[in-house]
Amino acid sequence: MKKKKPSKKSKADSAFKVYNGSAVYVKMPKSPRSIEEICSSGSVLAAGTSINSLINDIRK
Amino acid sequence: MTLGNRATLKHLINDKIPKDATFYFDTNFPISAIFQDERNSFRHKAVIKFIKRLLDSKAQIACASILFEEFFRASVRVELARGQYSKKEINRALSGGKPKIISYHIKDIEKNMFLFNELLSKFGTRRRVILPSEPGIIEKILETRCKYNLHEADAFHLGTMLFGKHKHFISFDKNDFKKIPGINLWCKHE
Repeated sequence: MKKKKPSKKSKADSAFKVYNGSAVYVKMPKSPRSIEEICSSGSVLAAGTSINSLINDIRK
Repeated sequence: MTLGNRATLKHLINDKIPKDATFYFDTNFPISAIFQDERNSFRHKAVIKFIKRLLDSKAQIACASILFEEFFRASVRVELARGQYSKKEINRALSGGKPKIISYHIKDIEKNMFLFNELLSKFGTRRRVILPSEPGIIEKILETRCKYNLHEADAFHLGTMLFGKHKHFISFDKNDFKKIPGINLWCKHE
């Protein structure tokens, strides 16, 4: 009888990193979407607003 | 354009990405990646290309914790503006005057935050968020603010970067940062 292959689980990107002398275990799932897909899902600015005016507004 | 001593303006698409360098994000960088300004799509496209280059070259990225708070505020502003609220109404809602209007847009605001997190997650363990609680950072931020007469948030970003003795800063704010000596300001995109 054919053995069933174990299902492939997505590998998590994990590692010990040393920050300021202390070891921190970091575990983050890898994003399956491409950068283009992520960035094209963002909101389109309303008419009459721009990235520059947005930046100015948040730093008032 | 006057530059600070040894400061350079780098091009996002054409300039080579140095090996083993850490790149600091100013808030306008992820904002330009996630939000789309139809009148300025050049920047959006250049930012996406640059992020891909950073990922391909296995570059390290870092940011100050204030970046998350600023991105959140930008997200609220974007969604309220899309909801046809005037600037006056948005300012009022954000200062606590009429916060109820925000409640209609929570899902969209949250969606943008998830996208931001997804973008950062692409860098895996090569990303670092620096908290101002690390000893010496606040001193550097205040020093930077006084020395270069910077806005508080600009000083927060720059002071955090300089504290780590790094020099690659990704920001489109040429006016404020061109006077800072010894940094590579990644800002050109056209």
